[in-house]
Parts: sequence; C-alpha cells; structure tokens
Amino acid sequence: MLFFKSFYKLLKVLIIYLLLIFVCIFMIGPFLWMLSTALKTSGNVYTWPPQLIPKPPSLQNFIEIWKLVPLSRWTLNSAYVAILGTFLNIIVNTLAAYPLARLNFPGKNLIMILLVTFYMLPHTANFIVNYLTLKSLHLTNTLNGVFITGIANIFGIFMIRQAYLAIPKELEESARLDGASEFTIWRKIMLPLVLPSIATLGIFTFVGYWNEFFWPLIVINKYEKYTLALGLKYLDSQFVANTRYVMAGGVFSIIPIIIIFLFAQRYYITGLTSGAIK
Amino acid sequence: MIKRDRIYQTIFAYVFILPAFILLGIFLFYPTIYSLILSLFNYNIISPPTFVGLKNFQKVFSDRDFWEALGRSITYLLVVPPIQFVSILMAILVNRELRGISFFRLSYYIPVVTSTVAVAVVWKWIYDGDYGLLNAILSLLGLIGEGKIFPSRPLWLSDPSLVLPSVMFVTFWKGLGFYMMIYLASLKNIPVELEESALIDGANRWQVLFKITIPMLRPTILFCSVISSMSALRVFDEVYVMAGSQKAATTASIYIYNTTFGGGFSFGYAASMGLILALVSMLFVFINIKVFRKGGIEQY
Repeated sequence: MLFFKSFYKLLKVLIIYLLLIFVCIFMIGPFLWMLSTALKTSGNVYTWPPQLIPKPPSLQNFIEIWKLVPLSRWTLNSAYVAILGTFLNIIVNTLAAYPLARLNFPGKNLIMILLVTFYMLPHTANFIVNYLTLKSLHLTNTLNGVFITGIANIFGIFMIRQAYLAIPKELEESARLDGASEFTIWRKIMLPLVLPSIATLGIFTFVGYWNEFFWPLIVINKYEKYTLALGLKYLDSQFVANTRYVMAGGVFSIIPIIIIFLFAQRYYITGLTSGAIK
Repeated sequence: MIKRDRIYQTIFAYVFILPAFILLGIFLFYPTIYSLILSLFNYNIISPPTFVGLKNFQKVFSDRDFWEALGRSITYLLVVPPIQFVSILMAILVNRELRGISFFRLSYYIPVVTSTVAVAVVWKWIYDGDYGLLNAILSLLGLIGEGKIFPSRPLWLSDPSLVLPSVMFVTFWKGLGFYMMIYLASLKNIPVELEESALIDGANRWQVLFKITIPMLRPTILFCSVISSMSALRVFDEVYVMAGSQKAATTASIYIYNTTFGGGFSFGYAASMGLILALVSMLFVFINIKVFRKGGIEQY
C-alpha cells in the first residue's frame, strides 16, 4: 500500500517535470533554433529535413554582418537610448511621486485626478501629434527624440508613489521633530527606502526602451541613427535570401537584454507582480 | 511659523512635480487633446492645416479598407482568451516547490523580455514555406501530403487565409510568460484550504480549476484581459515585421501607419481613425469589466 502511494507520488512528479520540460522547449526552442541557424554555414541552412545542430558550428555569420552593417553603432545607439532614458525616467518620476505620496499641498487632488484620467484614456493617436511636436523641437532623427516622450510616465509615478506610501509615518515625524528640512527628510529617509522599487522601475524602463520598435521607426529614418530593433528589421528586409545573417543579428540583439534580465530578474519579477495585485 | 512651513512645503512639492508635469504636458496631455482637434483638419506637414470639420470622419465611415482593417484588429482579440487560459494553466504548473522550478519560470519569461522584432524574425524563419522548422515537423509527423490535413506545404505567412492566425499565434506565444507571472502572484493569495477541502469532498482536479481557482482569480483575469485586449487591438510590431503590407494582415494600427508615416501623410485623417480605434478599445475595456467584475475572494 505504502509502496503504491510513493510510486504514485513519484509518477506525479515525473509527469510534472515532463510538462515543465515540454513548455520550456516550446518557450525557448525558437531562440535555440535562431542560435542554431546563426551558427550554420551556407550549405547546411537549406537542407531537408532541417539540421538541428550545426555541423560544424561557425561564427562566420557574425563576422560578416559585423562588416556589412554598423552593428556596433546600432548597439551604442540602443544603449544610449536605454541608459539615458532610464536614468531620466527614474529621476523625474521618483521626484514627482514623493509629494503626491507624502505631502499635503493645494492642488494635489486635482493633479491625482488628472493623472488617473490620462492614464486610462487610450493614446492611439498621440504618436501623430508627438511626431509633429518633435519636429518643431528639431528632435526628429535624433536619439534624444526616441526616449524623450517616455521619460515622464504615469505608471512609473504611481509605482514609486506606492512605495513612498508604505513608509511608516513615525520615521518622518521624528526627523521633523529633530528639525530636519523637507529636503533632508526626502533625501536621507524616504529615498533610501524606495530604492528597491526604483530598481524595479529602472529594469522595466530599460527593457522597454531597448526593445521599442514603433516609436523609433517613426522618429528615426537615418541608417546610422538606427537602434538595434530597427537595425534588425533592416537586416531582415535587406537579406531576405540570407536567413543566417538575420538570425545572427537577432542573436546579437537579444544577448544584452537576456544578460541584464538574468542579473536583475529578482527586481523585474517583483515589480511585475506588485503592479497587478493591490 | 506654521503658515510659512505650509508655503514652503507647497513650493517644495511643486518643484518636485514640475519636471514630470512639463514632460507629461508636452507628450501626453497636449497630444491627447490636440489629436481631437487635428481630426477636424487636413494636414500633410508640408502645407499648413486646413479646417475641414467632420469631413475626415465622413471619409472614415465610407473607407471600406479601414473598416476591414478594424475588423482584423477585432479578430485579433481572439488571442486574448487562449492567452489567459493557457497562462493560468502554466501558473498552476509552476506554482509548486520543486527542484529547478525557478529555472523553468525564468525560461518561460524569456520571450517576454526579448524584442518583438527579434521574436518576429525567428518565427518568420520557422514559418518559412520551404525550409521552415514548422513544415519540417509537420511533414515528419506525416501531416503534409496528398490526402493529409495539408495537401501541400502551407505558406503560413503568405497565404491570405493563414497569415493573420499565424501572426496571432506569435502574439499568443510571446504573451504567455508575462501573464503567467501575474497569475502566479495571484495564485499565492488563494488560501490552500479552499482547494484542499474541495478535493477531500470528492471534486476532481478540473472541477477545482473551474469552480474554485478560476473564479478566485477573476479580478486578476479582469486586469489581464483588459491590458491584453488593449494591446491586441493596437498590435503593430509583429504584424509589421512578419506580414509586411499584405492586405490580409493589415490591422487598424498598420492602416493608420500606412496613411501617415508609411507614405500617406494624411495626419488629420489618421487622427480621426486613431480616435475611432480609441473608442473601440474603450468599448472592449467596458465589456471586460462587465464580464469579469464579480468574483475574487470576497465572494466566499
């Protein structure tokens, strides 16, 4: 009896692992296929049935696209947009969230209503007007134009505001009694306590900027100003007949974000789940 | 003294808020309002805008191509229920303490953090009619050939009847990990006793899933369906990369892009179509709220 029970348990765990592995292949299989194609040489891409593991693997495609297109330039462009955009996003939203969470001042309710309203309204036509605005600011075809529209972000303000709200009132009051200035209270007490939320927002924003496609597509039309996402689309349309190059470009564009994600996943995932569940 | 503190605090507050408000004003408040105005003008960037009243909307109503495109965007909403259902199942699957479980959770999340363009180019290659992995697998399984399900190799991305479902599948696949994580967090809030007592009372696993777990998740399902419907209605990246300008895959966003930056440069007209798309997405948010509002832990 006991034997059957433990056998049943073992079988159950086995089935669960099989399911987990099946889903895992489904989710990362396409990326492995991308990598496999990127490592092939011209002969073994168009074989029937397809070769799963390249024999022999070769870095030739990476070397060739590196020569054909300005990959390093595009990577730097993406890095510039993502790093500077994220940095400014964090500063602007962390500042704005503080008074909305901890201070009382005239107009606060109005500001909150304004933010909630505009957060909920759909923004489907905004890109048209934003393009016209960038044009009059001479920011079209610049990398600054790519990230400037996303710096102030209502979602970000609300997320950091939530973190400020969670800080106990006593901490602030004792500092106030000691005669600390508003700025000192924010800088020395509040800011350090919301750093984990800032990290979460930072990762979210960075991944968002790095992967963004639609907005750079509109703002940038100079080849040397492309971000990696635009560059990959360019590779895809230029080398229709050479899938190996496109896949090598794809692998190249994914690697940085996967590395960052693996290092920062703890913040990324807590942020994702805390945003959804009140 | 106290009054001076209050004035000081107000100034302090506004100084902190100001940078965000200047940027939000320029890039969010202003365009949301100005796109309403722009929809009443003809504007092509080169010559100054001319007021045309409701002419743009009249034109939209007789523009068959736009309505067909909007129809495709609404068809795209069919991805929403499968994404929610499968990601709930995945969340249940990874909601247990097993060796290596965090590896699996992370690997399911990889498609979410990679750019849509990268995902789209690899799926384009998988879908390739002659050398694609998908057709290779189908023919190994014996599904392609005379008298089989597919008489000849399906052209997933160039056959007009297959292209939209093929792209929709990629959207489905890319979204799973994201919603799985949200459902996972929400599952952790469901008291284990509820499911356990139902099992003791003789309910089977599927009954527990449909009668207890899913009703308990309803508020989260509402949240997820709203964001998922909004992004499905506005889908652009994967369609643009995988299907190009094929008519069979022209969704509303692609159509609006084509009338502006894709070469049309009719900005006023595009603004009026954008507003109609916005109204449609508000309508679907409303439907989602109607369907999923009840439920959650308060119900028990």
